[in-house]
Amino acid sequence: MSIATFLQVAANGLLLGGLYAAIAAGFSLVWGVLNIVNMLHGSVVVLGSYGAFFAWQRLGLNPFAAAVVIGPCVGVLGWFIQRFVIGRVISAPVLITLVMTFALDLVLNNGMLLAFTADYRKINGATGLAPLRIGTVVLPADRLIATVLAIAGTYTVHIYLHHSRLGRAIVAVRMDKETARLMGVKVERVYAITFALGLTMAGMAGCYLAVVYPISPLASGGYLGIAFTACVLGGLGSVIGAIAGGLLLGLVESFGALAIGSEYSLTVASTILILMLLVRPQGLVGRAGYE
Amino acid sequence: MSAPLLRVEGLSRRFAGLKAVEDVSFEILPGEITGLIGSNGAGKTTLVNLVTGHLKPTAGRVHFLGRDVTGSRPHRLQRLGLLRTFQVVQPFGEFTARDNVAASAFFSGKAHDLSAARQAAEEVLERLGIGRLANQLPPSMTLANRKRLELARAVAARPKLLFLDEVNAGLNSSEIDEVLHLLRAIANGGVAIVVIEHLMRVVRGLCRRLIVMHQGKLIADGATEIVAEDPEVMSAYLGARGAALLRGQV
Amino acid sequence: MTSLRDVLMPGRVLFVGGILILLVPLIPHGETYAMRLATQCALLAILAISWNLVGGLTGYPSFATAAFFGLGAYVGGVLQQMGLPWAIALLAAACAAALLAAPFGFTILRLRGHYFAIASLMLIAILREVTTGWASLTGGGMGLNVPGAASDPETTARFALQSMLGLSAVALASSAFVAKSWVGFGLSCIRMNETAAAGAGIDAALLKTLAFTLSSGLAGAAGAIYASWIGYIDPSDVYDVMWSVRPIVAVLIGGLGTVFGPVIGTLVYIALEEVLWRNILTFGTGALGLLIIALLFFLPSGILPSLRRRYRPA
Repeated sequence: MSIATFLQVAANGLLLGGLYAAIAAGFSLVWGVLNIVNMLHGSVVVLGSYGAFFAWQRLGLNPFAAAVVIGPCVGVLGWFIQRFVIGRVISAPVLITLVMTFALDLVLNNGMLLAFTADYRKINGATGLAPLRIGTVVLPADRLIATVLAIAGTYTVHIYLHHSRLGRAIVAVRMDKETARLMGVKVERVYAITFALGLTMAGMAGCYLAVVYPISPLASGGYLGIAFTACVLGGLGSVIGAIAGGLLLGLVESFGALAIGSEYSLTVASTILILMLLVRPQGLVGRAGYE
Repeated sequence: MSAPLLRVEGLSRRFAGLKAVEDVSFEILPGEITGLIGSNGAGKTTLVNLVTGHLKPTAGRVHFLGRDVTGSRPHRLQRLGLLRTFQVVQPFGEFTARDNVAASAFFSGKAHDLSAARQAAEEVLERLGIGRLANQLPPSMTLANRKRLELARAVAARPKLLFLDEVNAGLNSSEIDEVLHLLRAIANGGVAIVVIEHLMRVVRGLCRRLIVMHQGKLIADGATEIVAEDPEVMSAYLGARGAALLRGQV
Repeated sequence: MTSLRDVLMPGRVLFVGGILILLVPLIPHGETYAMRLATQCALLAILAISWNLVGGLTGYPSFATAAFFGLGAYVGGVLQQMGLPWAIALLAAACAAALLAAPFGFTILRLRGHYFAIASLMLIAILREVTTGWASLTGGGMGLNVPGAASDPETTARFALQSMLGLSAVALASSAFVAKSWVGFGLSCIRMNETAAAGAGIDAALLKTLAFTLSSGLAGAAGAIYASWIGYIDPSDVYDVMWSVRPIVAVLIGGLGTVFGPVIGTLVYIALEEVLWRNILTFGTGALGLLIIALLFFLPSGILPSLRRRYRPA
């Protein structure tokens, strides 16, 4: 492999990885704090994508701008779901919570299929800018901006978690729920807000993804798989871990596609995920503890 | 001098830079009741986890009945006769007391089918004074009875060496006396026992020999009266009052 | 202690199953709807019973059922296409599933909770991709035509029903046998407290793997019969996570960990699904999601345990 090819594949991987980080961050937060694996996550990302698509198509709004509005809207939906549905089974065994979020996903995904059909939609030329060239490496403008914003947005959440009162409450609940409760933190409220935040990030990720990828409810499974894998790679509950995991996954996929071909991307990701679970379940960055 | 049941050599365990147990060596002979004492965080429970297969050592070896069993899993050690109880009792919550004990009797290989195991279970429960609770579920039992159930499960497996981790935690004075009585009976039946304990009067009443741990290291190993006079042990853990309690002077 | 479990010997289950199989030729001509429904019931019952061994009895929330179902469908389908007799293909499918399940199960059963569930879920995606990629053998994304056991649809339908009934009897009998035996006793211990189970001398890794392998073998066999019945399979059809979720829901309806729960749950579930599909065609799956949510809210332990609690002697 020539240096030029290596650099291009690596660059592609990083661009991909940034988007993956955005997908994974919200998922990781919900898992780490509520101990809920949100099977709904992929469909929420797709919902965000649809939001961006229709904002672009009907209002001529740029997806990057739309993200700021769509994210919070999706977050409000998340708050309601947590408050009235998930909250009721939050202490139930893993099987129950998994089936519950899976059922919610059935409702959302099929709702989208009904409303929008399975046809793939595409946003073309969101920015209309020419690709950036650094030496031999070509970086398409849309992808580059999407990735940069995705990582920036995700990192902002990380800052917020560690420097705001609410954020620190969330981190406290994640570390030790009972102690946090004893210290006066209203755990149920933290749960609702965290879930809302997680879905907000998913929705915003969907907006960034809409710039790059075709949009359809059928894509939700793939996004969920990415979220799982990036989370396990990077470590649970930590936004930095999601970023690390996402970037790593992007690189692995990019190089993997070169070696094996892209039809086996899910196999590669899944195998890595399983190996990681067996060898180092706490991920690269994370701490062991949550199951 | 009979062959040691258990021989531990240079056993160590690190957790990301922290030396929880460091280079511990000792032997347990058949029929002994030994106390394992030390302050919180000294590494006592970790040591028991290492010996009984719940944790893998980072260095050192464990020999039981002459075989090297380092790193063997708990169920294999159980079948050889090396058992432990837990500080927080771990019963099978949906099984009756009888079935709880029958599980041990059957899976340790001491009963050849489930009905024989259940019968053996009833006998053991009777011996430990909770025969009348055979049909009860653990969540509805008092703590003292749940501790007896845990002992019953261990006894049913006919252990040769039994590690008891803070078996008296949460019990009142008379309950502790009952446990002591039971433990002496178990020891008389040919079981070597190692008790992790905080209560000096229990240690004095039960243990002829003491092993003392401090910050992961073994700092004393010998007859109770002698260990009680050891200045290092006194400064690390016992203090003057503890030493006096051990010597029976209080 | 369930008296029903004690009363029912696996042999009696097989006997009843045998009777039902013999009754199938008596079904009047042209009752295709009833036969289809019955076959669907039997199929879901097999998957539910098999899942219950791992998810209900042992307490490990597996999502791998679809993976082994799909594997069985493809092994059975490919072998039949090569000309092998139906019975051999079925046996090979069950064995293939078991052979994959043993090492895979042994590996991932070391994980707990969410981690185990996700690892089991990922197997579906892996097998789907590998099957699609190996187009020369499996027909890839274009699918595979499976020669039915007979030439005309009516005979195929009867044959499929008989096979499914037979397999479901075998599944139920095995499940009852396991539940009554020391294996089931040990698996229950593992479910309740795996640390204590090790302390009781239980080789948890062995028992868990045994349950997982048996469960997967049954699912694989069901897949092979399914392939013969439907006549055409493709990767996204058989390697669909719904084949993992529907059995779970059926068991949750009927009662987790009980012997008959999966059967009762299957009957209720199929009835509900039929009602939904007939009346809410376009949002059927979504309505199913709502149904599951309602189930988890109002009947979290399932039908059998709720009945037992009500009628347990004081």
